[in-house]
Amino acid sequence: MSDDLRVADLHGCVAPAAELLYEHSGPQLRGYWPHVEERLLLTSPTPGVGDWDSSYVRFATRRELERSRRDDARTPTPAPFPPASGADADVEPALLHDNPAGRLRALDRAGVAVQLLSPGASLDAALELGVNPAVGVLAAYNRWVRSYCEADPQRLKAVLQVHGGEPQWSAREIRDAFADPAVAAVTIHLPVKVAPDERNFWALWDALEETGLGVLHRPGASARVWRPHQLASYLARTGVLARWGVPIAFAGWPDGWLEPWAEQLAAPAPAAREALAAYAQAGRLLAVTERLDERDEALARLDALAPRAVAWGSGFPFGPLARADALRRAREHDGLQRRALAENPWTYLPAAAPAAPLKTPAAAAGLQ
Amino acid sequence: MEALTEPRHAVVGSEALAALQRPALEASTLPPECYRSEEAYLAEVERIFFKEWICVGRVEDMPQPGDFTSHTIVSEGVIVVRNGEGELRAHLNVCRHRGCELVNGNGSVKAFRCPYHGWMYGLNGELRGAPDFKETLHFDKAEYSLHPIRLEEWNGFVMVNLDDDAAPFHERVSHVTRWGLDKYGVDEQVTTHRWTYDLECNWKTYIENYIEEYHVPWVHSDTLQPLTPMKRHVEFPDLSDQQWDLVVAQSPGLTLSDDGDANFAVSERIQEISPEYLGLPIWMCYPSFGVIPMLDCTLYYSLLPLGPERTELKIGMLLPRDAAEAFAAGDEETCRIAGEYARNVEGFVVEDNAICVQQQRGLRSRKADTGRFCKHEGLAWKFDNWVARTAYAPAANGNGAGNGSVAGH
Ligand code: FES
Ligand SMILES: [Fe+2]
Repeated sequence: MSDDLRVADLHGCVAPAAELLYEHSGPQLRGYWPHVEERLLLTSPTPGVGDWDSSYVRFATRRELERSRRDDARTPTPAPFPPASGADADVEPALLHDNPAGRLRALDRAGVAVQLLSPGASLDAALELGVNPAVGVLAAYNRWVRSYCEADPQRLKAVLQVHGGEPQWSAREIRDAFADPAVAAVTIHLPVKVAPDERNFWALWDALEETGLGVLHRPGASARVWRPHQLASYLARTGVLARWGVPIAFAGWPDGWLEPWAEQLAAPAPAAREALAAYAQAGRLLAVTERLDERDEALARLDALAPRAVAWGSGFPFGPLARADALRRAREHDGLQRRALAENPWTYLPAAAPAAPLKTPAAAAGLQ
Repeated sequence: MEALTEPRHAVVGSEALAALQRPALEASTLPPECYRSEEAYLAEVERIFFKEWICVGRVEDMPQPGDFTSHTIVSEGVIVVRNGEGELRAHLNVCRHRGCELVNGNGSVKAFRCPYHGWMYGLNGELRGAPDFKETLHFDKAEYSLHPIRLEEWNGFVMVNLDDDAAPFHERVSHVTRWGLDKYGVDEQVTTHRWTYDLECNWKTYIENYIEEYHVPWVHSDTLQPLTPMKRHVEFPDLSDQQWDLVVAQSPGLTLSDDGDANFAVSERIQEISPEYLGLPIWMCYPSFGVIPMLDCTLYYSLLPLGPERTELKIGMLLPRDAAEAFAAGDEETCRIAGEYARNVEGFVVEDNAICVQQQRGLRSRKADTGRFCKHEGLAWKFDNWVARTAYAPAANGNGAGNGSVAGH
């Protein structure tokens, strides 16, 4: 690995068990806990992904709970994780909830400088609790992930989880946590009925812009409504992107979304749509992908359209942390891969200075 | 396990001990003080109940991950839980934070949460959540798991032992194959009926009663005597040197029905049992775990002392799995027959209970004295000797040995 290549992985995965969220909960969530407990499922360890070595509890969706009741399960439910990604020597035990040192060793071996950490399905399921307990769970997660990153806050980066249904709380949470060097980005859980351009949401955008933290938008409770292209064009159309210089990255989306995304950026379109491509070119809209194949058409198209529009996220430990050949080529060629791995605008988040808002006529009209 | 108290001196005087140790037909019984004194009780607790295997139920009591039962062995609370891997585990029912009892009774959890300050433990006893302990110095959650308790499953019974150094239960009872306990399919049976009694008697009175047939014609004149007359009882004191005894009410085969016929599936392997052990094999594993397998059902006993003159008796009735499932599903005919079996159990159990309590009242008399054994009480003699040897001998380190005793002067 050459010294000048600072490889950033925008999508590392963690999965704290509900026990750990409980441990990091505030008094309010603890008060709710007897009610919250009904929404937990005993869960089998998932071998091969650095999981617990014995069963643990996690938040489950209503549907999962119903299924487990129907099945009268004599064994714990399986974890909501993808199957183990083969024999990956990088995956040490307990990586998902503990053992940050083991994660750092894996980063060293792969030559990855920083990794942003996101929780997956088990945290998202907690959003089915009412807003108040859900906010309590997100706050507990934020405390937990920051303590996880304490092992090396320069390399392990927390993505704060906030709640779109509580923008005031979310703004406070962002401002409070910002001083922590480990905090690198924010995921906003968007309830179906919340529109991110509404006036009470502005406090959240203000907080993001002030702190220079970007939004990491991943599939979660809001995935059905806010797929990447939907969110991006909504935020462009309503003027949010123009008014607040907040970068947005889309990470963890299942395969197949890059093509329509490239399509959308490329298509001749009305003013807002043009702005979208401009935002991508400015590094404000970032597609995070696990695949870094130069022959990938969608990627090549995106790269041609906006050279700073693609970043790399491994999905580790569910995906291999880094493919050696990808890193080698990244070192050797000044191409898409190098930029995606090492020169994407998120490599040094939070930004020293907030990204400049892009004002376009259409955008300016949006927030009137 | 910390010692509650270590007997400072011989609980039974040397004379009384010598009298007990003579051959059964020359021996005297345990002195009555052993059935009522605090000192004898504490010695038994320390040296027997904190050291020996205790039956705390059946595997079917906790079918699903997270199902737990809780038990009290004298002062020690024990949780038995089925973990996420489907195995049974036993933990001390004591929170490692500041000692609160963790759970009460039976139930199902996904994790144990202490009711006091909310420490959370996984089903394997590991401390998983200790809120607000981040600032506490040198605190490693791994060091604060629930204390594990030894547990073994044996023929579907759940055995626990508070002594970490105890020999495995399986080894202690391996000779039961000599009389064919392994042929009844007890491990395939399921509990349908349970009884719990709080009896005002010393636990030893009940074990003696369980293991001797001398009382059958008098105490069970209408229940057991017609079915299993005393004269057909045979004791097998020399069957094994393991810590258990067997008395068999010999017959071609017995069950608990009114007419003596088996109504449920009979294990085919019973045919392999030697005839002298067939009928009503009454087995007692000391200190207090009894199994009585019959043609198509099994009774099991477990006793725990609650004090010098108070005992908790638990009895369960097992039926073959199919019958137990039909019973659980409310099948009318199965319920009727199982009910008949259970009624017959209650018939003789209440007789034994009553006579043990009555004996205890007699033993309270200041003038009560040692008695003698007849030929039908050889196993009671053996049991009493085991208790005296195990619990009443002076402490091995000899502190205060011979300084007196509560009995035998
Ligand atoms: S005593 Fe259990 S949490 Fe304090
Ligand atoms: Fe009896």
